[in-house]
Amino acid sequence: MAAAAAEATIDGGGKMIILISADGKRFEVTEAVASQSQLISNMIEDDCTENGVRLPNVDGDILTMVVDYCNMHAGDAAADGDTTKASSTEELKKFDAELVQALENPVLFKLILAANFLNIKSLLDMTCQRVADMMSGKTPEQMRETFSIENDFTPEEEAAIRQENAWAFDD
Amino acid sequence: MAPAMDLPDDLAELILLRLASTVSLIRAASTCKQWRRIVAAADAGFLRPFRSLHAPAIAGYYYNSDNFTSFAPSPPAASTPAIDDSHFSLDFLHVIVQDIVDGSRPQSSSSSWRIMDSRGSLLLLDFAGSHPDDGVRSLLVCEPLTRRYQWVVPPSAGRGFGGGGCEFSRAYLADGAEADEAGGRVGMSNFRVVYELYHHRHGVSAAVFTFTTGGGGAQFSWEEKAIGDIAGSSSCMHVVGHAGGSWYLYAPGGKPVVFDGSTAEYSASESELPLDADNWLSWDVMIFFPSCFRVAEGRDGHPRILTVVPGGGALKVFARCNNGGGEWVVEKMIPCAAAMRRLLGRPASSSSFGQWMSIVTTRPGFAVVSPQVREGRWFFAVDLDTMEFLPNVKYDDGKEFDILELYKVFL
Repeated sequence: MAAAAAEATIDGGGKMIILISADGKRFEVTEAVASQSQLISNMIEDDCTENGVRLPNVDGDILTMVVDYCNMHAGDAAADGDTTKASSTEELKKFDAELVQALENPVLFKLILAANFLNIKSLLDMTCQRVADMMSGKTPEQMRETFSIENDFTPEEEAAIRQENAWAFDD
Repeated sequence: MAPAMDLPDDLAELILLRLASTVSLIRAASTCKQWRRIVAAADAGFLRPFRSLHAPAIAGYYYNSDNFTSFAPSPPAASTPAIDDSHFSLDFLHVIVQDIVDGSRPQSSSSSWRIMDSRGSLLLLDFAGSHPDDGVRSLLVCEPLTRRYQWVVPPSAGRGFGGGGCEFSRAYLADGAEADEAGGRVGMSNFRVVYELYHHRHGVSAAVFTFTTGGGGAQFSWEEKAIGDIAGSSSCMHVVGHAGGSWYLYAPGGKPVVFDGSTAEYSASESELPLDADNWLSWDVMIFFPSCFRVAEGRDGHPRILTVVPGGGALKVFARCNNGGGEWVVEKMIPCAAAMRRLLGRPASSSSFGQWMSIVTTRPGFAVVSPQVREGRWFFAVDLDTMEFLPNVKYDDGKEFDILELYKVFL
């Protein structure tokens, strides 16, 4: 986390702002990094980041991931014409793949909620895709197990649903 | 167990939209009420965008064979869970026959069903037992996976349309006239069947059966349309094959005609197929030999007309210019005789071998040809792009290539 903050400073990107998680952890990032969140970008524009940005919906461990992600991707938007971009694109892909591979429910869902709240579209896309990929090829039972979904159908309802599309339920 | 799936509907929807296949979607919709509610949203609020993001997956191919119809599954895409072949069985049609057809003549022979066309997840079937007088007949549209079906009954079935005196040529399955509420154009609740008819006095015409189940339940209508200007005045058209959701026909005089299954409309080429100077058979004669004149689908999804050069040991390939939408032009000539001789280890001197051959069947991107020789039958698959030959190919399950048409169905 400290390393991430240090990297951000080296990156340049001007003014630093403080993000404060629900459990009180503080993250110092550049405005450029934080602006990938549309929510924070709007706040910067409105000049209301002076005293730190409180994010009551996001826990510290989730915000750590979000900040890591934003630090890695800070160059994305700004780096047009940058000659190092090709290699950094490779790196980013690897970073994203590793981040997303490591995620399991419930952390994954918390990250989706955070990405949605902070309005970071690329992170939201990536995490939703991860869930969809994890569902692929699973039976309804396996989906429930993987994502701790409660089966709230009555046995009759469930039987009717399976009857309707029997062909899709070969286990 | 904590209901950890406490994502609000809008986020759950983002996830469900990203599912790779319809099968996964159906399964997801049966895990919990929230997901089911999202997928079944009113006005197809979910299904419409889902369909626009996902091209339909090919489930496999049906074909007519001696003992009823058969199904050859497509190798499933990595993203689609395999579906057991038994779900594609048409055995449920036996029951329909017993229900519908006159009880005094119980029909047990399943081989009376023939597939006439396919579109989306649907098949169009003809039941031989239902029209003893061989007039304009009732046809069946069914969806094998869900085992739903709908009879298509022409007005005054058996005596024909427009005052009688007409014969049934064939029928096609076409998309519905309007997109249904989920944005789908073809399904059990939205389809058209086009009958092609031949009147002794007025030439060729078509009759369109339109079926929808809108808000007010099932509705259907019949509409006759004249297509004589396309078909020519005197004679019926010949089927040359189908590709990419369209049927390709031939009207006398060398003019290819297309029936587009998405619009249910016919269109004719302005110009005739170019004929070689050394081709002493006219197209009007060639058309009577389906083994010399066929439509194949190219790997690019566009149609090709294949003709055998009589006595020339070669295949001539026609393609439509303007990316498959324009006139037919000769795309290439594929020399076959020498390649077949070489693959069979025949001396180059046996020069008559393979000069005469027939097109046995086609698949997307290739054709299967067989030299016409007395000493036996051989089959060669010709890649229409690379012009490479594969010797002694077998059909998927080892059957012989007596299968002329494959009917593709989608999930």
